[in-house]
Amino acid sequence: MIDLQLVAAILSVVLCVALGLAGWRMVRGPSFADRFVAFDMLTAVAVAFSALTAVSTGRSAFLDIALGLSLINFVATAAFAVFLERKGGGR
Amino acid sequence: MIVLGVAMLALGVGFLLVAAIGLVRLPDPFQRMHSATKAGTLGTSLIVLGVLLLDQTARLSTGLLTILFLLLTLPIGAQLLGRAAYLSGARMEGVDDDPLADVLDRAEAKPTDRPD
Amino acid sequence: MSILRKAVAVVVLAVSFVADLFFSSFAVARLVLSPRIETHPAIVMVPVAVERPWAVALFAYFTSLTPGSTCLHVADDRRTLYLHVLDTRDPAATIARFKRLYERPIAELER
Repeated sequence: MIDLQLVAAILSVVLCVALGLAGWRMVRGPSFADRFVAFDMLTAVAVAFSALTAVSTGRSAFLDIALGLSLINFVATAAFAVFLERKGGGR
Repeated sequence: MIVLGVAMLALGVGFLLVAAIGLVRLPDPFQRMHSATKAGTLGTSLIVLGVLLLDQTARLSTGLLTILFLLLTLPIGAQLLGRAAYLSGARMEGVDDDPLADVLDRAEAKPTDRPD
Repeated sequence: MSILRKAVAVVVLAVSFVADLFFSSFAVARLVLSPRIETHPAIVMVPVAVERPWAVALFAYFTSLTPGSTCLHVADDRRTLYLHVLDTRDPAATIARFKRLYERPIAELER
C-alpha cells in the first residue's frame, strides 16, 4: 500500500522549490511582464498545493478552493494585462 | 488506480517544477511566459486529475470544472499577457525579423531593462 | 451527414490537441532542463484560411494552448495570426504543422 500522506508531503516539499524559484523571479523582475508571469505561476502552484492538501487531509473541500483560485487567477491576469498595456513597460 | 493517481500527481509536480526552472533560466519575458503558463497549467491539471483518482470523496464535477476552466482561460490569459508585454516593449531575445513591428505600436524598451 | 462529419472533426481536433499538448510539453521540458539553453524564438505570421470570427478565434485559441507557441496578435482583418514561437529553426514547417493539426478540422467544422 502506498502511504498517501507521505506522498503528499514529499510532493509538497518539491512544490516548495518551485514556489521559491517563481518567487525569486517575481522579486527579481526585471520588467513588469516578468513579474506578472511569475505571479501567474505562483497561482498555479497555489492551486496545486490546495489539491495536494485535499489528498493529504482527505477533505475534498480543498478542491473547491482550487476551483476558486483558478477563477481568480484568470481575472487577475486580465487585469494585469490591461494595466501593462496602459502603463507601458519599464520597472 | 492508486498507482496511476500517484503517478499523475508526481508528473504534475514535475511539470510545475520544470515550469519554475524555466521561469528562472529562460532569457526574456516571452519565453518565460511559454514555460510558466503552459507547463504550469498542464502540471496543475494533472495534479487535479490525480486527486480525482485518489480521493473517493472528491466530487468529480468540481475537479473537471477546475481543469476545464484552466484550459479555457489559459490561452486567453497568455494572449493578453503576451500582447501587453509586446506593447510595453519588454525585452525580446533572438528574434531577427519582427513582422509585428509594422502592425502594433511597440514602446521603447527602457535602457535600465538590463539582462538578467 | 454533415453532423457526422462535424463530429469526426471535433474528435480529430481533440485527439490532435491532447497529443500535441503532451508532445510539446515534453519538448519544452527538455529545452528547459538542458544544460545550455539554446532557444530559437521567432515571431511567425500564420495566414488564416478560415473566415468566420469564431473559427479564427478557435484557431488562435488552439495555437495559444499548445506549449511553445502563443498568439500575440490577430490582424484587424482576421487574415493573419502573429505567433511567438519558443523554439523553431524552420518557421515554414511550424506554420504547416499548425495548419495541418488545427486549421483543417476547424475548416471542416466551419463548413
